[in-house]
Amino acid sequence: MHEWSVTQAIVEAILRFAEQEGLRKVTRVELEVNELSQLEVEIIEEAFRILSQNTLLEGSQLVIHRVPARFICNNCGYKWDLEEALAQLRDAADKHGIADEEGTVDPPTHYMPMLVYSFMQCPRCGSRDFDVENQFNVRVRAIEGEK
Amino acid sequence: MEPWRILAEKRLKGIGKVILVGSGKGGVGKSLIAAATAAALGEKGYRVGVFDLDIHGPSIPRLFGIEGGRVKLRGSKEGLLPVEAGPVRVMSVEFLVGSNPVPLRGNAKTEVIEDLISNTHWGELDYLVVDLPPGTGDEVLLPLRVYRGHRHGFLVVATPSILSIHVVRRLITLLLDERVAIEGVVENMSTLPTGERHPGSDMLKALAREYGVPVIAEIPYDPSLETVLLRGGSLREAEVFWSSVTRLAEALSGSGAAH
Repeated sequence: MHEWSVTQAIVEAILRFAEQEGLRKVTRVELEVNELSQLEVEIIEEAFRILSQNTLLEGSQLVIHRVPARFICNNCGYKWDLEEALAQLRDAADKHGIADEEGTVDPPTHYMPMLVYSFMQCPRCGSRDFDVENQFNVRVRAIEGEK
Repeated sequence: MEPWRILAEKRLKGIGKVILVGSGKGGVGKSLIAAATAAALGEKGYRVGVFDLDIHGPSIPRLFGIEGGRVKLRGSKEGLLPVEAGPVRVMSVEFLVGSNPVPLRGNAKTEVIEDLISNTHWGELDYLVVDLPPGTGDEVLLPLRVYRGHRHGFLVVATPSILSIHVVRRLITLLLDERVAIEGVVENMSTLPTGERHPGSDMLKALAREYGVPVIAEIPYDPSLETVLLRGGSLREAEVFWSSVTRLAEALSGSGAAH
């Protein structure tokens, strides 16, 4: 569900940009989605298509790049990826899951990826002092259009 | 404009006025006053939300008896729905993480604050009371950037201690520089446990006068308050404290209705 409000904000941000740049039509949009947010790309695509109707974005090609989540421990130097972290996040979803109107339960990191710091510890040494390589949720990588 | 700012602007559309509650340093009663002000406005029949942005030390849920472990946050197509505590809607990071630590640094901290602001669906409110983190770092500058473009007023919470006076000066200077509308200074613990006026009270008032900022409320020391909090009672039961906060809420609502 969260995908809809995120996509709506992205569509509006692109429309404002297109207006500023004097674009008559947007032909291609590239988005980056951080896999840490576990946002569903298919829902974003559907929301984008519907929210683009009757705007400069209608008919534009949407390309979504999934950006992998990677972590590095500042204490012991260990590096790990989302797959290794999923067990910890599943535990977070069990204890702190957020249900939406359709009964889907998402972990808090679905809404706020950086809360990963509250739910994850280094798999090797247990420290919470680690870096997350990509800290954004969704961002626009490129926009192409016609003037 | 970044997408999160667009969402944040949308959230403000149904909100009459934002009351920002901040302090230069921690431990001066900021969260307590934010919670009580929201409760007092709610009691007057206003639709009120209280936003706990003190992400490292969230205490608003406890003040409303709705700690993170006891409530389940719900999502909707519009975003995260605040938890209802009587007439007051409450949002806090505690509802997402429970009693887990929130060891956020730099960018991660601002990301979480951006996400909280942009994802919370308040609906229609007369007042949104925002409990800011102490200090003047990113976690304060970011909400100021969002909310100062909307109808707002800032409550500077301070104790009349010599230790806080310079910090209050720095905070007021920053707010004036950033074109934030200061509603007034709230002098917390304006009396000593003996009932006498606090010796630093005149100093704090002189500072407020120097900047042309009113002292909008004086909250005396109330010996019953800690006992009430310890047994999880309502803030209304601390009568001296509550009557001062009620006057503060009257001053706020009298200084211009929300809509």
